[in-house]
Amino acid sequence: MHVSIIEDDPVIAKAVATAVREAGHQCTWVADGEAAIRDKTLMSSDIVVIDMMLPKASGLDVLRAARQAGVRTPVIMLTARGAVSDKLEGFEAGADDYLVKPFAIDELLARIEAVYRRTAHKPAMELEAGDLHLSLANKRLAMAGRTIELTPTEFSILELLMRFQGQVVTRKMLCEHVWGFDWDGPTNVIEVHINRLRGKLDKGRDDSLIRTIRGRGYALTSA
Amino acid sequence: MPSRLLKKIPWATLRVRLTVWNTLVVLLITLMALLAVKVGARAALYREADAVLRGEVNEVTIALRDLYPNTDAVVDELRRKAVGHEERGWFTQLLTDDGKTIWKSDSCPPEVVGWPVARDKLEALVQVGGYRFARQRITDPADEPYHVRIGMATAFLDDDIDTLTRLLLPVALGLSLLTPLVGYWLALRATKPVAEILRTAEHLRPTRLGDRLEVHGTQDELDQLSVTINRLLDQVAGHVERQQQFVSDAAHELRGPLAAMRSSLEVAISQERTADAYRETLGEVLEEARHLSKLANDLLLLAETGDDTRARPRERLDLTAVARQTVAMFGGVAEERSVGLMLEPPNGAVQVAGDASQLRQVLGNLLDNAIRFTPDGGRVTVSVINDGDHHEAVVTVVDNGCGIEADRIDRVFDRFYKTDASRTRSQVARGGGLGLAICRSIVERHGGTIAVTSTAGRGTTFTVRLPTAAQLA
Repeated sequence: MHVSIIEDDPVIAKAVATAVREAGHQCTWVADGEAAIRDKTLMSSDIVVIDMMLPKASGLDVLRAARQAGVRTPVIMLTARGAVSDKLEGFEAGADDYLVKPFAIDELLARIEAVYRRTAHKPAMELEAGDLHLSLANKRLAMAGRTIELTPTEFSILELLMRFQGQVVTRKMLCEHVWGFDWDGPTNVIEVHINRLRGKLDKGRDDSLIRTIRGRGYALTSA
Repeated sequence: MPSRLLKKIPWATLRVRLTVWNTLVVLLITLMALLAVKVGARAALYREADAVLRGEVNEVTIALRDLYPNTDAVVDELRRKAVGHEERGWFTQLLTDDGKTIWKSDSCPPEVVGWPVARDKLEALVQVGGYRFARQRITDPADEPYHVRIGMATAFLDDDIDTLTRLLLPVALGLSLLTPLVGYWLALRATKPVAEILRTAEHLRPTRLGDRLEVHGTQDELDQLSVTINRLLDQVAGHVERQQQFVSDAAHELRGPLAAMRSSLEVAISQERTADAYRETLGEVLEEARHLSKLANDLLLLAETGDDTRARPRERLDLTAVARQTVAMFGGVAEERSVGLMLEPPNGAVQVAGDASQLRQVLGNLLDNAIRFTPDGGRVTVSVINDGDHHEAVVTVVDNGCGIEADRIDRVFDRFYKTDASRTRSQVARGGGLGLAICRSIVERHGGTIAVTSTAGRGTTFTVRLPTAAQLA
C-alpha cells in the first residue's frame, strides 16, 4: 500500500512516515497544499492523510480539488480542532475518516488499514489468528477447534484485535468499536474485559495472546 | 465672535440640553402669560368704561325727564360731564330725533358728530374709529325724542394697557435672562452625580477592577445606576478573577506532566543505557503525554461548552438510551470491583435535545466518580425519570460510597478541585480534576442544572435536570 501524508509539521510527518514504513507500506511526505495539488498526490497514492491546517492551500482545498477532478482515493483528515462543525466540513469535502490531534500513531495506522479495507474490499466474515477462529456470522469463537463462550463485549474486543492482528489497538478504538463512543476518563473500562478474555484464551499458554502495550493499548500476538 | 462662542458650548451634554429646553419652556410660558394679561386687562378696562358710560347716559336720561322741558339744564349737565372728564377724552352730544345736534361738547370728534342717529334702538354702545360712546333715545315725556351720546377716546384705555405692558415687560425679560442661568445651575446640580460617575468610570481599568462608583444612599435613579454598574463590576471582577485562577491552575496542572517528562528524558539521555531502560523511559513519557492530551482535550471541551456565543446542541435523543450505553460500558469494571451497578428500569423514553457525546460524557464522568469512590461491595444506582410537572428529565446517580464532607461539597464542581486523596480509596485512578466542572458546563449549556447532596460515610447523590425535548420544541 502506498500512503501519502500532506502535513507541514516535520515531526509529525516523520513519525507517521516511519510508522507506516515499519508497518510494511510505502510512504511519501508532501509539506504543503499547493505542492500536493500540483503533484496530484492523491492520484498516485492508495490512501492519503491530509492535515487541515496547511500553508498555501488548506487541506480542505486539496481534498476538494481532488474530488472535483474525480479522484476517489480514500482520505483521512487530521486536525487540531475537534468541533462537530469542523468534522462535518471535512466529511462534506469528501474525507473518509477524521482524526483529532493529538492522536495515537497506532490509531492512525489502524484507521489507514480500516479505511483502505473498507474502500477496497468487503470486511471478512471469518477471522483467523493462530489457533483462533472467529465467525462473525455465528458469533462463535473456536480455539484449536474447541468452542469458547464469550460475552458480547469480549467478542467485540477480540474481533477488533484479530482484525488488526500484530498491530496496536488503542483503548479509544476499542471503546468506539464496542460501545459506539469513546471513553477517555480516569477509569480504564476496557482492562477488565481484556483480563477476562485472557483468562479464557490463555489456558495452557506460557505468554498471553493479548499483550498490553504501555501507554498505547493492546495487541494480539501474530504468532 | 458669537459663532466661536456657540461652538465652545458643549451642545451634546445633558446639562446644556436641559438648560435649553428649560429656557424655551419658560420663555413660552412668559410670552403666553404676557399675552393673557394684555387681552384680559383690555377686556376688563373696556367693560369698566362701558359700564361707566352707560351709567352716565342713564343719569342724563333721568335728568332730561325730570327737568323737561328745560333742556338748558340738561345741556349744562352734559357740559359738566365733558369738561369734568376732559383729561380722559370724554365728549357729550345731544341730538334731535332727525339727527340735528342740539348741543355738543368741544371735545366731540367730527366722526361722532356726523354719525347717524339710530331710531330703532333705545340704548346701545357704539365704536367709531378711536372713539366709543353710549347712546340712548329718549322718548318721554312729551313724545319728542332726543338722542344723548356720552363717549370717550379709547386711546386712553390703550395707553393704560401699554403702560401695564411696559411694566410687565422688564419682568418677563428678567425671567428670560434668569432662566438659562438658574436652569444651567439646576441642570448642573442634577447631573453632578452623572459627571462623577463619568469621572470614576474614566479611571476604571481592566487591570484595576477594585474601583467602584460612590453610592450616596439617596435611592434616586442615579444612585441606582451606580449600584447597577457596581454590581456589573463585581461580576466582571469575579469572572476575571476566576479566569485568572483557571489559567494559573491549568498551567500548574500542565507543569506536572511536563516536569515528569523532562526529568525522565534528561536522565535517560545523560548516559548510555540499555534498550530496556530506554523503552521504560519512553513508556513513562508516553503515559505523561497521554495525560497531557487528556488535559488539553478537557480544557478545550470546557472552553467550547462555556462559550455562550456557540449555538446550543439540538439533536433529539433518548436519555434512557444514553444511560443504558454508559451503564453497559462501566458494567465490567463495576462487576470486577463487586460494586452493584444498576440502571433503574425506565418507564418509556425520555427525550431531550442535546449533544449525545456530551451527555454521555456527563453520565460517564458521574459513573466513573461514583464507582471510583465507592468501596468494593458498594452500590451505584442510576435512574432516568421524566418529571412531567416541570417538563424536565431527571437523571440521578446514587452511590453509598465514602461521601463528601459538608465543607467540601460546594466546591466539587470547581475546576481542578480534587477531594482529599487520603479520604478516597488508595487505588483510585488519577483524575484530572475537571470531570465535574465539565459536567456542569455541559449541563448548563443544555439549559439544565446539576446538584449534589452527600452524607460523609453514607454516600453521594448527583442530580442532573435537563429540559425535555417537548419543552424545547
